[in-house]
Amino acid sequence: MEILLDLTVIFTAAAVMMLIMDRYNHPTIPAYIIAGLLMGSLISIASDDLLNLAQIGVAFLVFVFGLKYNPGNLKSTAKTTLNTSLVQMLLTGGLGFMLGTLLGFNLNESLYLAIASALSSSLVGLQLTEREIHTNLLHGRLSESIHFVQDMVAFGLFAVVLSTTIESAVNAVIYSALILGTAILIRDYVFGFIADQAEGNQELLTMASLSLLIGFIGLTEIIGVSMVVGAFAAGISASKFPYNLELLDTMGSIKDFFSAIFFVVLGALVTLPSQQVLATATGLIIITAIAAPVITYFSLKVSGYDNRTALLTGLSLDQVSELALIIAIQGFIAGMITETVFEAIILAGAATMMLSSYTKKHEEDIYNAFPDNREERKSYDIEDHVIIVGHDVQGKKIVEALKEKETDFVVIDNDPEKVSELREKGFKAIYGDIMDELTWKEANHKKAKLVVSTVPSRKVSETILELETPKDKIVRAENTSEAAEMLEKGAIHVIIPGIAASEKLEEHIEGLIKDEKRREELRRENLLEFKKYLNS
Amino acid sequence: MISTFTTDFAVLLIAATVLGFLARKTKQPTIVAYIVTGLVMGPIGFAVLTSGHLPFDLSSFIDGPFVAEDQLIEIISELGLGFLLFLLGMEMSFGKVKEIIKPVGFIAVGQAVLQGLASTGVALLLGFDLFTSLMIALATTFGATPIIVKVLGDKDDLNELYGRVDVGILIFQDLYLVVALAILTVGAMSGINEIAFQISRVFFMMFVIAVAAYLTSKYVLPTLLRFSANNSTTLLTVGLAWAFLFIFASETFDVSVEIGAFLAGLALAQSPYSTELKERMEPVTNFFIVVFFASIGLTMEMSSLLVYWKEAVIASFLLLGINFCIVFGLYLSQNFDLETSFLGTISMLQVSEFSLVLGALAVQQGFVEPGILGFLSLMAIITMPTSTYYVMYNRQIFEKVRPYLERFEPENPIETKDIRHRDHAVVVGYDESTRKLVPLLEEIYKDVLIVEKDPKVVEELKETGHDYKNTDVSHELIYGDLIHEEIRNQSSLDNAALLVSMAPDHELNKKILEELDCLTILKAKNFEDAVELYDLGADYVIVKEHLAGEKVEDLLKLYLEDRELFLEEVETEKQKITEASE
Repeated sequence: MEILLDLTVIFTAAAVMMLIMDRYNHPTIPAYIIAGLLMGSLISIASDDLLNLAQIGVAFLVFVFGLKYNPGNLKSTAKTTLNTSLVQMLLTGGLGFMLGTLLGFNLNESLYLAIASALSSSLVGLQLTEREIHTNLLHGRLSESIHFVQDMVAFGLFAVVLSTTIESAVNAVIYSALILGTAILIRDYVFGFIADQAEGNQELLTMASLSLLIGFIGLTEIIGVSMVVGAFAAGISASKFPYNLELLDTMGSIKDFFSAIFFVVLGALVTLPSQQVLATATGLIIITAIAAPVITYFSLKVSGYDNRTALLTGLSLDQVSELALIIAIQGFIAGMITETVFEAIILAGAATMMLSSYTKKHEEDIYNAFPDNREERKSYDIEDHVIIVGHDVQGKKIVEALKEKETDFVVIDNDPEKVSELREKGFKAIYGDIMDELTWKEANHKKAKLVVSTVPSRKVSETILELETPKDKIVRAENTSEAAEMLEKGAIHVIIPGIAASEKLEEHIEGLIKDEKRREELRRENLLEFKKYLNS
Repeated sequence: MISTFTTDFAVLLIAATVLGFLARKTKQPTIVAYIVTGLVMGPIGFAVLTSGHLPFDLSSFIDGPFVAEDQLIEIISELGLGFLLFLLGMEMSFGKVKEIIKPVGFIAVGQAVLQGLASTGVALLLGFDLFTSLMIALATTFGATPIIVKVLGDKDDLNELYGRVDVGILIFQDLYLVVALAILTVGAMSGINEIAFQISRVFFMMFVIAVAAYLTSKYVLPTLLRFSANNSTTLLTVGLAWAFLFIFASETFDVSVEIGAFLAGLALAQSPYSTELKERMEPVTNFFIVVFFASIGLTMEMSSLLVYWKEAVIASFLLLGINFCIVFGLYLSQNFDLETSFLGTISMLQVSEFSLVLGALAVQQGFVEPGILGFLSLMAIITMPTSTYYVMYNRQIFEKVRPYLERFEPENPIETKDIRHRDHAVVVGYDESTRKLVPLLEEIYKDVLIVEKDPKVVEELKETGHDYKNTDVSHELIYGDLIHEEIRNQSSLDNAALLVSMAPDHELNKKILEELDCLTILKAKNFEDAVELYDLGADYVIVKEHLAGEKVEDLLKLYLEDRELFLEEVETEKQKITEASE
């Protein structure tokens, strides 16, 4: 009876908070935690059943993580930012550790604070940068990669974090590795067979993966490793295409159910915070929200990325990770950290996740406030040329058109690799920041006749339209109302990719439906061209 | 180190999975497997999970939910039942049945009365006392909605006339189930006055909750759901909160939680977002319901299961025969043609899992002895598998018996419009790219189905009347994500002639290509995915940036050749943009 009241309170509060947070584009997780903070007094947290349900939430949360894990992308994703990520984690972790020591916590607790400082939330971060990743912007890709590396480190930490001695830590690592190995073997050799036996029945497929989940958790319980490792391994063992898609759907729903309970209970566990909790939380917030982005910014700059990219990537890492929250509650239950540290981590988590959506919203203002010092470079000595901003797919098409018409052009891009590639091919290319006047000087914009931007960023389009020269400007917008504004501001044409694509599609569609020959032709043309892009 | 909860749960889940796969191999519904799981693992079978080991022996079950000491598994089982009823409520959409509502209503009522009489009679004949016989009748007179819907869905027959009639009858029966639940929650009373008082109290409370459900579905839910639907997780959380609020209210008012859950679902049923919500709720419910059905078997001692085994066998087959005559007769009396009547009848003769729910409740309230639950379970275990087999081969059986039935053929059978989609075009995602395509596709295919997951676009399309059916062109709108099986079924992808999907979900696209052989135009996020999709047999793959790039290339060449001509060319577009944004 009691638990029914608890669940009713949990879900009603969570639903209300989520509706509010959705309205302001805040991520989901802090909505749960705040619901818990507010409703804490109404929920009987002492109830073992509720804590057990919350634990099930952790299992499903991690399981779905494992399910999404894609070994194909592993190397290429991780490689880009491996060094940056490691440096950033070491430094912010170090700051967290210092904070702990300064505030008089013991070694263990300081280590937990270090973990909370070092890891940023991929669920929140990626939810916020979804558009950038989708449109394949450089800083979107970088932040995806850093989050990925951090998550892997977090799972490594899960294996050892509960060990009290070096020896047990070593054992835990060995066992975890064995469990993961087993999971990979199951995925590669067994799961496909099981899934085939289900003959496309979604319910059975789900049952099978539930069995794997509970089986792996049982295994870790017997061995004495954190159940998170088991749940992650179970997720991996079931992550075989095409079944993972279906499982993400069904297990995702079960995950949403239990993780709501988990995060709300997490929030409810925080009582009226003491001064020490507040001080610790504030310290953590400063480290994750300010120090982490700044450190990432500088380490990306050192690796050769431009100001803007480095800063925007850094800003996407300014929150405490949900995995750190899980590590914290495990440590708390195991009695390795006191309530003070635990509460500080939860509070800092909720606060930074919220803050993160604000910094995301105001990233351009933050960027403008950041000082930049770049030495002046010589302008290209050309005139009557075209300036192309962004060497993406559309940019490449434009380059082709210009080559065909034998017109001079300069390409501006903020990806150093793309720029050096272009230069190797003998084209004029500038690596730099569009917001920076020096970049335009280098492109000799006063003498150009046209600038075309294909960068899917409103800010970039607006900056270009503010330039006095050249007079002819073509920019990009994502929808008609944005486009109308751009036209108002003086663009001679606005590219709306969706509409441009639809016009081309319209040209093709009748042929596609009615004419088999034309269909074959289009297919061949496209394939050839796509492969060409892939190899270039 | 290992907790009993994990072991118990592991044993239960793994056994249910193994038996579930066995059921699949023998073409049986999974529910049978779950009940058998309980029997095999409980005291009757290996006794791996015994009452001492597991928190729910029969006594704790009888004592009702939420009272035993260590109750996690029991909570899950109880919630499963609540969610099942919640889902059932959400299924109650009258759209498909409207056209045939009269005959369906007649059959449903006639069947309830006649079958009730027949079951009471059979039970009396078998030697049960009058009260018990009435209880048995109450528990056995309705069909197994989830099983029937599942089996017919698998056969792709839900939109056949007989499938629609069956579903219609089941909807009526579900209402009747709720009333039965209400009566049973009253509990054993001493005087007739008290019973009357309690029954009227329960009905009054039910009425209050129903009114609340109705009013909210009219005034609160449309707005609430529209705001929630932006984010699929929010939608699920809001749905769950909704269900819990009703469950909690009915628990507080002392009405059965199942009724609260059912009414909560009913309030959501007419919303366009209910399909998506159902699809999200279903896995959660399945997960919980396994535990519920297994727990029925787990709670049973050998003695109570087998105490009436002879009676159960006799009753199963006797009622199968009698009920066939009743339903078949009712079908024919409503002028359905012979085939529809026969197929419709044999699909719904089995004992429902809800019979077990009612049986368990009756035992819990002390109306009947535990043996009756065993009796009902055996009937379920006998009739469910049998019926699945003959439903699977229903058409072949019909051909065999047709000659003997032909003299019953009504003279002017009812004819209805075919509501299935065939050779239609499915457009996933209504954005600026597909907006222009739809009129063209309408012209070619006459039947266009739009699947859209953005609630704003759905509302907009509904307002502009983009969800209509007339004689010439049919144009339907489905809210949801193609990732869900249910949404794929609803859009009859198997029968589609063309699929245009603007959802650049690579995994989903791969799956679509694996399953479909119609003309497919898909969208990919990048060239790598695009090439793979082509390799897998896609007819055309859109890479938005590339396609847009082609257009930009055209325009730029024009600019370089003749600036004035370019300006003229873009002028019309300029006007369109300004118009569209106003």
